[in-house]
Amino acid sequence: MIEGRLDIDLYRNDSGVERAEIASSRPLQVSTLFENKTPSEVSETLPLLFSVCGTAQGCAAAAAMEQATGSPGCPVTQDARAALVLAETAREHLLRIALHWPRFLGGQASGRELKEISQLPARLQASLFADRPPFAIGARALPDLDVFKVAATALEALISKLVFGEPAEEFLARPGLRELEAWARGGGSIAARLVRKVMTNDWAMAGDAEPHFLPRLDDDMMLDRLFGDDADGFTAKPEWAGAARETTALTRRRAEPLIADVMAVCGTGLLTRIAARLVDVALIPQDIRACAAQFNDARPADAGEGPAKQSGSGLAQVEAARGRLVHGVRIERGRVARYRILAPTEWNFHPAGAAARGLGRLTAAGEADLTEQAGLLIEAIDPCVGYELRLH
Amino acid sequence: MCLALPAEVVALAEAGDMATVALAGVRKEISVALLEEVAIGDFVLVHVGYALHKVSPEEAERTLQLMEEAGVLEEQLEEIGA
Repeated sequence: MIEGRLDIDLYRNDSGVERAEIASSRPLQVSTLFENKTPSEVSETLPLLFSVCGTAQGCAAAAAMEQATGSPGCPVTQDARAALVLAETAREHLLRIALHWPRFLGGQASGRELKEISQLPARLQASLFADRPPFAIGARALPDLDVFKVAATALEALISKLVFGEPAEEFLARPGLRELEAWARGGGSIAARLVRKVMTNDWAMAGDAEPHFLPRLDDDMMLDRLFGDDADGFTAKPEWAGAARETTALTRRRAEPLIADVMAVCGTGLLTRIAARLVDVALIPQDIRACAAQFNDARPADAGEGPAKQSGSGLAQVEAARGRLVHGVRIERGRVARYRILAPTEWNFHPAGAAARGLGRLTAAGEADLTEQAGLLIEAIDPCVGYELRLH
Repeated sequence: MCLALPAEVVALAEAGDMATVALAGVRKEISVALLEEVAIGDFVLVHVGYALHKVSPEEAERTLQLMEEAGVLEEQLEEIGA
């Protein structure tokens, strides 16, 4: 609906896919709405517009505008915001797994589970910010550690139960492909059944293509690109150092032992991408606990870093569920002069990006298998919008 | 950019967590499985066929106003109707 759509066309030859074409109708100029508004007005407007990855968007906006105005949030607030982004990532992964993966297996998740997943981030937010808006400019976290621990434990329990059928930590202790296979053989969860299906059908390497992972980006260089002469072209079809880069769960978790081992065998094929999603969601409970590590410090929540430089420019790079989300802002005389957002879907579903390259390497001969492999690969890379897949 | 459209619930299916929403004369069947409870007259944010959460009528109106201002509302309404 309003979010726009991806049109994905696969052109076949005798051995599989000859080429994949991806076109996007996602509205990208929405951020120009923020121009001429004050930072506070932007932070009030933003949650109305971005509701899917609203937490990551809110976090990136607050960080960019606070940097530009020289008023960065205190460490406790920044960590609390990071914990909320992680909780949103968990929700997005869980919903994807519960809602979309069953389509490849038959069956569906129960309504009870879906409602439980949807409510998780709100519980965590209440424990960290009470009823304050977490991404208002100058917001201060007010962590209630006891309530936070209960919410974080509930999140971990849900992840363990729904995704792994065992504690997430036990899943993470599996060091390689062989152990992943053993888990999939014995498991009854949606995720285990999907991994089993991919292995049984010999689809583990389907869609393997040489990766071009998005490196750590220099803030100043990124600001130059976001506000340069070709800003519209860059935010619609971004490239970095001459390549359409990938920023996904695989990009951020590729050094984890299990993923490195699976990738050594299957490249960036289906199994590696599905495993990366699983490792990403399994690591979230410990990442959230790491955010909370310094809530216990004696520092008062409003002890900031002291006056910061007010440069007028701000850039935030936030790891959202589907990859890195970038917000850039220029503020002049207290109002937003320029605002740009670069979302992960623009990298990953770039016409020459990870999805197009992977889809272009699919080799299934039959139409049904090809459609299913393509669907799995698209789900694994995970666009934040709907898509239409067509075979020619 | 992960936008979701606010729409009014105009009918609820008797079973199966489905509802009909309407916006500017366009009606669409969506799933309300992610919501705890939903009633006719509620405004919900819709994304890829699912209601994500409820919003107040005022928030819905303000959001639509912003989308119109950004020039994305009309084309998206056409897409829903198509």
